[in-house]
Amino acid sequence: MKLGALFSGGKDSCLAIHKARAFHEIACLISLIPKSEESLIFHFPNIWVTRFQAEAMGIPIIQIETEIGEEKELTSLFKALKLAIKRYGISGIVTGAIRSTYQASRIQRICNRLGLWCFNPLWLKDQEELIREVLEAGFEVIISGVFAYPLNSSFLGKKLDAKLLIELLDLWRKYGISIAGEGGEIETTVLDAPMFKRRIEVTDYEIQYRGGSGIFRIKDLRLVDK
Amino acid sequence: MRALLINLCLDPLSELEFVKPIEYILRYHGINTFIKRYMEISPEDLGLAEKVILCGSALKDDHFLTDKWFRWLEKYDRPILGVGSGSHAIAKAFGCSLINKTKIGMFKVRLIRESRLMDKRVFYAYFLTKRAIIPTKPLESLAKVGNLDCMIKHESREIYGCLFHPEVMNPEIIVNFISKT
Repeated sequence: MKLGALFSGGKDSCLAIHKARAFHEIACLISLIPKSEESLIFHFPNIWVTRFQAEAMGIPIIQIETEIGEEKELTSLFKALKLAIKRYGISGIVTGAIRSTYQASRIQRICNRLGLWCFNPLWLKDQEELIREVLEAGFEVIISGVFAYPLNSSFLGKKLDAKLLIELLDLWRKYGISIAGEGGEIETTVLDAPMFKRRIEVTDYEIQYRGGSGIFRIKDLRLVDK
Repeated sequence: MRALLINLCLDPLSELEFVKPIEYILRYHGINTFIKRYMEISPEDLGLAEKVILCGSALKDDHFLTDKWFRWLEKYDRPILGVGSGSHAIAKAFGCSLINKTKIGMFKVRLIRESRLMDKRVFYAYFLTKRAIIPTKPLESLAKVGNLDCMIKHESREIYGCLFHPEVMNPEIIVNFISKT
């Protein structure tokens, strides 16, 4: 089956693609670019990087700008999926949804309207297991956003590895922070993964941190051979 | 205790979404499980299981309704729970009608009969279904969402069905099924 992948550039959407590729063809990636960072559903600091991640994977990408607001974002998603059906002949989509019934049910309704299959291979997956799977599969992931106490600027740009996982597990036990970031506490950006033909090297960035939340903004990058 | 989880998904990618979460819940509670696809169940599998859960499937996936895959349900004497599409399979095996009714998202459920699977009278549950069940004997309704029946039980046997997905918001239903039936 040809699938479109809802793609944020973070570890969850990349892991979902990695799993889906075992059974289906990923015909295109689909990214919604919020005009505002206060987006309710699609809230990602380095969304522009998705174009380069797509190039690294050798998969075409549909990027659609969306206005802020639930209805407008869902209308944009509907349009993007219609375009993916027309341009790439997809019969379904794959998402990195883990726990949010709010997000999942809205996406399911749109797929139902369009007659698309909807796959959520990470659904209800244990957070620790998810990160371990990301590491074992050889993903290179950095923390690109922190949005909850006690996560601070020292986490921004850090590579997700076994040591950081232990640190995050400790914070989860003490403060109840979702280590997979499903509650929006952490955002990640994937620089390399098994399906990447080339990896991303960040050549310029800035860290913005204020009032308990911050982002690692990638300002420039290049694709390098693996 | 050994529970058989029956995978109703035609597409292997859906198993991660509809079977594995139930396996995680049972594993967390120390229950041994084994998974079989619905078209590959043998009498040996049914003999090995002490309880059986028919798991759900994707909204577009109704291949499991295309043949009489579940005739064995009529004579099987151990507890059975159908989740989402699994409840459709039970309803069909016992001669109930299925009607087209799409329900996606979180909805309030009212228990209309006491059940050992759920002690709350009113609770929220996550639905992902394109069909509703019209329960007829020997199946009866245990709960409603609006005017629709959304939990069913066999009148004399330990056979249950949830139109919704308890693994998402009501894992106690799955745990109670294992521990109290």
